Amino acid sequence: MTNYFKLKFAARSCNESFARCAVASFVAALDPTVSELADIKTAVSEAVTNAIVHGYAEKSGDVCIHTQIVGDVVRISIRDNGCGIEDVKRAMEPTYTTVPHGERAGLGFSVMQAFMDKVSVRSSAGKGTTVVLTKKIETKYDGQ
Amino acid sequence: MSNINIVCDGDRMTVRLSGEVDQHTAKAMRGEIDRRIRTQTPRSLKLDLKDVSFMDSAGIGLILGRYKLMSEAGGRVELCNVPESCGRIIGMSGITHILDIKEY
Repeated sequence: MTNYFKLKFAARSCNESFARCAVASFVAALDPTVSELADIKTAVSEAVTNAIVHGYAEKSGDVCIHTQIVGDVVRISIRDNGCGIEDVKRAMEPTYTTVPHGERAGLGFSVMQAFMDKVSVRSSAGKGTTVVLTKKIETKYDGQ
Repeated sequence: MSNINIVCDGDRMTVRLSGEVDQHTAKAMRGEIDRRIRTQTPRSLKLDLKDVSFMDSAGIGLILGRYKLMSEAGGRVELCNVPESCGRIIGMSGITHILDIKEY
C-alpha cells in the first residue's frame, strides 16, 4: 500500500495534540501495535514542539506535516519555516536546549531517535527545519 | 483533555495528573502545582500518573521541575502508578535514578 496525507496548521501549542492524533489515525491503517502507535505519537509531538518552541520561538507561523505510508514503512516529515538550527549535531545531543529556563528537558531529539527507526534533520539558519521520522510497522499487514 | 487534582494531607501533597501531558498542557499544570506548593509548603509531593494517557518530554520537564522545587526546600518527590504509556519515556529520561517510583 502507498498512501499519504498533508497537513498544515498554525504553530500553536494547542495544536500539538491534534497533529500527533492525526498522524496516529492515518498510521492506524497499518494495524500497528499500541506500543508502535504510542512511539509515533510521542516522536511527532517532540518534533512539533521543537518547531513551535524553537523554530518559531512561539511566534506565528505554519507547521507542515507530510506523512507517507509505503508498504509497512511510515515516513513523517515535519517542516517549519522558522529560525532554523545552526548546529544540528549539537542540537541532537541529549539535554541540549535553547530554552534553559523553560523547563524543557532537552530530550526531544533523543526521544525521536529512541522511538523511531530513523531520524534525519535538514536545517538552514533563518529558513527553517525539516525533521523526517521513519518507522517500520511490524504488523499483521498483508500488503493489500 | 487534561486535568489535575491536588489533595493535601498535613505536610504531604498528592497531585493526580490526568489526560495528556505535553508542552501545551504542562504549562497550566506547572502553574497550579507550584501555586499550591508555595501556599501549602508540603514536605513530600506524590505525583500520581494513573490517569495519564499520553506524555512526551514536556512531562519529564514537569516532573524534574517539581523535583527541583521540592529539593530546594528540603522536600522529596515520588512518582506512583506510572502507566505503560509513560513507562518508556520515563525510563529513558533517567529520572528513575533520582525519584522514588511506587505502584499503589
